Amino acid sequence: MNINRPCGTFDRNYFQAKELYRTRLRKVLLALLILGMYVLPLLIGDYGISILTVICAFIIGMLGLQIITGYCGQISIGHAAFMGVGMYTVAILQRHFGFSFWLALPFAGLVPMFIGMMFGVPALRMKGLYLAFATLAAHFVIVYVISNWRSVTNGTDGMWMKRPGELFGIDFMKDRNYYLLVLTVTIFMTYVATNLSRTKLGRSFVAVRDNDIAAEVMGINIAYTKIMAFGVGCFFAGISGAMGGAYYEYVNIEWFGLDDSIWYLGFLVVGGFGSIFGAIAGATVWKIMDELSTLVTPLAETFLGGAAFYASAAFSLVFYSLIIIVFLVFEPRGIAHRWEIIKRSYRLHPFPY
Amino acid sequence: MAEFIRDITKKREQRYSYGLMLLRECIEKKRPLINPNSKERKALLRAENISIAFGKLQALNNVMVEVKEGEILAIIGPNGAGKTCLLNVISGFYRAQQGDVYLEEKRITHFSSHKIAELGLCRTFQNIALYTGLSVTDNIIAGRHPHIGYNFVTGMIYFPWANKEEAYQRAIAEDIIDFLELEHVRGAVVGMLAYGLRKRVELGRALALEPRILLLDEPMAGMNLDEKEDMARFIIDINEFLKIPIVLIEHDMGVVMDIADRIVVLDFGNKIAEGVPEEIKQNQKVIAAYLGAG
Repeated sequence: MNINRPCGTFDRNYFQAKELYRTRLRKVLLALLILGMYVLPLLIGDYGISILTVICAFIIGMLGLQIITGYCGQISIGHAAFMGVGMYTVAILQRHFGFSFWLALPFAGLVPMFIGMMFGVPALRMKGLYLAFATLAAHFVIVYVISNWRSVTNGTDGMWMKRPGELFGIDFMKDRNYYLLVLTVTIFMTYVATNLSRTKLGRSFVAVRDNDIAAEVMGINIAYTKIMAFGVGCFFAGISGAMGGAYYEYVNIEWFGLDDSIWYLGFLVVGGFGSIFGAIAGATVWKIMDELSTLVTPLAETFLGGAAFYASAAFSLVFYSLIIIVFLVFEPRGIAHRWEIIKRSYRLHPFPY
Repeated sequence: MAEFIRDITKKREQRYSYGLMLLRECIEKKRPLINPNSKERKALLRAENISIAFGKLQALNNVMVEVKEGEILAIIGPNGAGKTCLLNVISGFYRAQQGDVYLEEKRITHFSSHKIAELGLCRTFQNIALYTGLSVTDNIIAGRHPHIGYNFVTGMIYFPWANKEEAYQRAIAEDIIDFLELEHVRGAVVGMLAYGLRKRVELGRALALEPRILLLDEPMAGMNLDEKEDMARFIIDINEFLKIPIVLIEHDMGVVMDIADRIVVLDFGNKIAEGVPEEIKQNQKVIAAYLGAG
């Protein structure tokens, strides 16, 4: 039954039994991957760095949605709005209170966390589609407040936002250095999310998702668990927003529309529910699709002529929809599941199963 | 750390063939296994005059049940007699319209389900209610939820003491897996398992909670003879080794008459008989309502 592990590895104690990376090869590969991500900006140009920065920022947000929807099973259509709360928290703290970026960053997590917990309260009485509509309210309330509270948020004009200044002699105004900062935060948040998923709170999330009645009888406080899921998930969203917003040094409510929240969910499906790798894959595919659509535009000009300019806006949407449909039809459990299958067949190689 | 590993490994090797050693130690740390004054078989759980009605349907009518220290109590009766309903009232699922439930002289009628579980009243379900997305080991560790000490921030950062605690919980889970003979499927996702194995996993998850009382709702439904015998053996072993009183709802009269110390018979929400198996077999009311004259 248990074929999900490399051949020839045995557990000699309980610490080994719960290890995530068992063989030395996998540990080396992970180290190489992280090292490669740090070295990559030296090899690619500014364009590549901008893509990588955005991917990293969105990975953090996707991890947050993975915790709420993938692990705890509470559908949230308002995730982009919580990203926006994170962005605006940093911008407001910088403008009105003169905070530095570093000082504002924890608040960028904590403020969305508390607002998320507030909007998570309906989850105590509602499930599934009904809850999705309740979280939709979060989106509209947040956008309404931001666009109308002009004295604080500057309304629809958006706000300027400062990147972190120098730290240890590293100038974060350079895109390359800022990418390294975002990458570090992403790696840390991925580490945190992975640990969350394999410890007490993560298990209770999955318990509530899979069988909330049994969870309640087995001593898990459902109200606390659901609200914690929203809290932790929105914390991730806020950090993601702060990192992404600071990259552009500008915040605007146009950046977290309702469609973004829905794409968030859509690409979580592409990545795969209930796994950290799924969240990373989903965010990466999303942003790569985004870039692909801009690359396709010049190509389209040869077919469509001048109309390509107008059609280009639709390209990203067409790509998004296409890939989500393809995944829903051929691999509804996402890239993460497909990756598991590939790994399994590699381990079992000469045999089919 | 190394000493800790050696320690739990040694403990496990001592009773490797049996299992439950670590769990028993865990329970003994918190309370004596047998209540010192249990000579007179004090009632551990008391459900007094429970009445509950769904509209016009009187599901339970003035039912009184006592579970004594260390016994196996079977609740039997025809379909729709209110057996599961009684369990639901006891475990805090339904609110009784009248009557009270006491656990060790503590009134738990108004407690929420998870509070009751933390007090040590633990149950399994008639139609299996496992966490289908988790592996067998994780299901059992998830059952230990109230006994895991660290808070969520510690878990997220994965401080060394969280690591140690996780390893300890895994040791206990493996202990239970040994006892229930689930070694070959310990890493499998529960959703993929066969029915009989799932029932066993559910029993294991309930055990992991270190229950004061175990409520089993039809643990042998839909099993073949071998599996039934296994399950009966597990139930008796739990009862003898951990001194946990067990409340058992079961339709297989052979099993019930063999392993139960006392039997309560329900019919249309009324308790029609209570006593040792021999008395119940002879009871005319029970024969008319449920057992049949065959």
